[in-house]
Amino acid sequence: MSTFSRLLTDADALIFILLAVASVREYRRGRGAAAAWAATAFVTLGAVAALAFLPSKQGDAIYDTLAWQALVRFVIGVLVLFPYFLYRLAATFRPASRFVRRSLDILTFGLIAGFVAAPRLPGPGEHRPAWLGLYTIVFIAQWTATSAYAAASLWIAGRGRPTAARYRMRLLAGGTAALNVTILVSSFLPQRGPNNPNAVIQIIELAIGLAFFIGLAPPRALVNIWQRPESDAARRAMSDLMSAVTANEVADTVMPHLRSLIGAQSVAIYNKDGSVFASYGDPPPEFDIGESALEEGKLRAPLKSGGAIVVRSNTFSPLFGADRIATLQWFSDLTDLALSRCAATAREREFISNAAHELRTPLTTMTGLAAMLAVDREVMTEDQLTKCVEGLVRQGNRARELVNTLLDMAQIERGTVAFADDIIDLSNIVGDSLDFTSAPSDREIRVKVPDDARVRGDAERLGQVVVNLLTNAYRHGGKTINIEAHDDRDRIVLSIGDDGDGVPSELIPKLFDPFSRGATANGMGSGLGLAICRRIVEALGGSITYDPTPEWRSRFRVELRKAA
Amino acid sequence: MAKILVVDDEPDVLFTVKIALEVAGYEVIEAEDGHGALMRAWDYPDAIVLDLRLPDMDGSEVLQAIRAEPALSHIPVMCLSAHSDDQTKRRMLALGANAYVSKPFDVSILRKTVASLLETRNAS
Repeated sequence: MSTFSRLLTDADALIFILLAVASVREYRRGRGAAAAWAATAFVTLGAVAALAFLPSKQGDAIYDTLAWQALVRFVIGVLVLFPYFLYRLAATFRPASRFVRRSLDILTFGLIAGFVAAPRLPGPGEHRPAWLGLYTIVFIAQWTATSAYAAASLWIAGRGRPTAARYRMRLLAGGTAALNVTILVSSFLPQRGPNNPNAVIQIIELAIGLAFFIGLAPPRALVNIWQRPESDAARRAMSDLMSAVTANEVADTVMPHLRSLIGAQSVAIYNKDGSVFASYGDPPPEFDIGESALEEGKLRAPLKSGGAIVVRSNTFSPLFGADRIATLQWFSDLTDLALSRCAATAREREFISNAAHELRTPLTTMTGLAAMLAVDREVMTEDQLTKCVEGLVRQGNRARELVNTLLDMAQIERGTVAFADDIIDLSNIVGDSLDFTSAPSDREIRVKVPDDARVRGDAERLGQVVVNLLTNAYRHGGKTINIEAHDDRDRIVLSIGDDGDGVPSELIPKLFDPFSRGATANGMGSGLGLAICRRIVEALGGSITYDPTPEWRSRFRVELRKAA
Repeated sequence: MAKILVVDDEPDVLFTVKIALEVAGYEVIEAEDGHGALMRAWDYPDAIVLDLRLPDMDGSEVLQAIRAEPALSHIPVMCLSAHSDDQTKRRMLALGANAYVSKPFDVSILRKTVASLLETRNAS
């Protein structure tokens, strides 16, 4: 045997062994029935290929040994099983009819049983008995029928799949068909033994091995080229997603793209509690918090909100689906981004709408009063004129305060306000705020703030918080207002409460949101006081909560950093 | 002199509407909430200017209460609201409001609307 021929034989054997290893690796990575059948098929083929490395003993005597006879039967059995396993792989994508299943089962296992039960098999170059000719015909029939069915199934099952999966399935289909043709052709060629290998056939086998290899475990670069149509579609989906402005628009945009990119029957976006937020296609796949990210026919990617995107896809299989899992994960990340952007936009819109609404009242009054002063001045009484002018001044001030507060809040939120980090006497802040606000004469104010209560922060801003809380107490609170402070480890807790009715329960959840106001607000205040208090206190490293007690039903608790 | 009931919880808006109507020659009676509005309705005003956002009840509830009471149901009602959306407007008109003006309003339009309400009332 020439060196070239020996090299070809070794290369053939090597590629089929590598194929076996790769198929096992693919199975370990993705699991699933398809990967299991692929691994079984290529491990059997690899096992036969490995025999090429067995030392070949010469001499006719060896063909009579039990070992040689058993080995030949084993090799034939394995060879018969290879197309059968490929057919089983294809059947995981396209289930075969009962007739096909029965026929291929009987043909395959009947043939194996026939070979096992056969009398002495002749060695290469020996005279071949007539019954062996019949066996060979059945063998070729089994191989051809099974391979043809497997190849056709794999080819058809590739339809409607993402490009990379389709090409991979078609490489496997093409390899299966080519291997069958090669076997057919070589069986009609003059007998080839270890001493007489046909170089052309060996080169074709090498090419088939390569096709199987690429179909089973394609290099990343090739997948990237194959996936170009999907990449373009994903780019389009991304730009669509970025222009969606509501959560529903996000869902409506992402779901059709997912359906076409992943080849799904249906897509659903689930909320944290397991309820369907939006679904596309029918029926929506079920969602279970605890289930694994992928299983045959279903994929799932978590969302930051605690919910998930779940995709039902009959064509999904972990063997050809790794890219789809990556695509889904990428989409769920994008969806997360788009959803949080939409939430921010919605908050902003609500804020703007509320701010405009708040500005309407002073504007209504000012334009009305100004119009009357312009047109009706002559017919108005002195008293009406005075009241008009007073109203104008009052509403002008109100509009100015509102705008200042809005700007202040926007600046704090943007982080462009510099907060001092001084050591402040809390009792001074409380005293100054009480002086500044001048309580209504019918209120009793109790103050229990220790002289040594010192906190870290910005005196002016902290004063703003106390003034806001006091103003609220004067406006909505009871007759007695209680202010006290105490140590709590590294914090100082300042409580400001009154014995009024407390905050209505429906208002509590949104108490610190901008523009949340009680029905009895009576038009006073901007509805921004507590919102701005919270932003200031948090910027100072503290916290503010509504903390009512039976005695002080509307009590606010402000935790501040204690000065060391 | 026609008597107009003005209902608004914003003292300055109430004041503005009151002056605007008084200067135009109407007698104005006031209410600051829904309950007060229903009480003053029994003074049989010739028309009602009704704010929709009231502290104790919704303006639409006040309107429905007036329309449900046979003795009061004939009084024309003009809604005055900070909601400028068509949906609220259609809803209020469907509930029996005779006119709808959104804030901020033009004083002359306010007066014209009240005048036309009184005209239709006199015609019927």
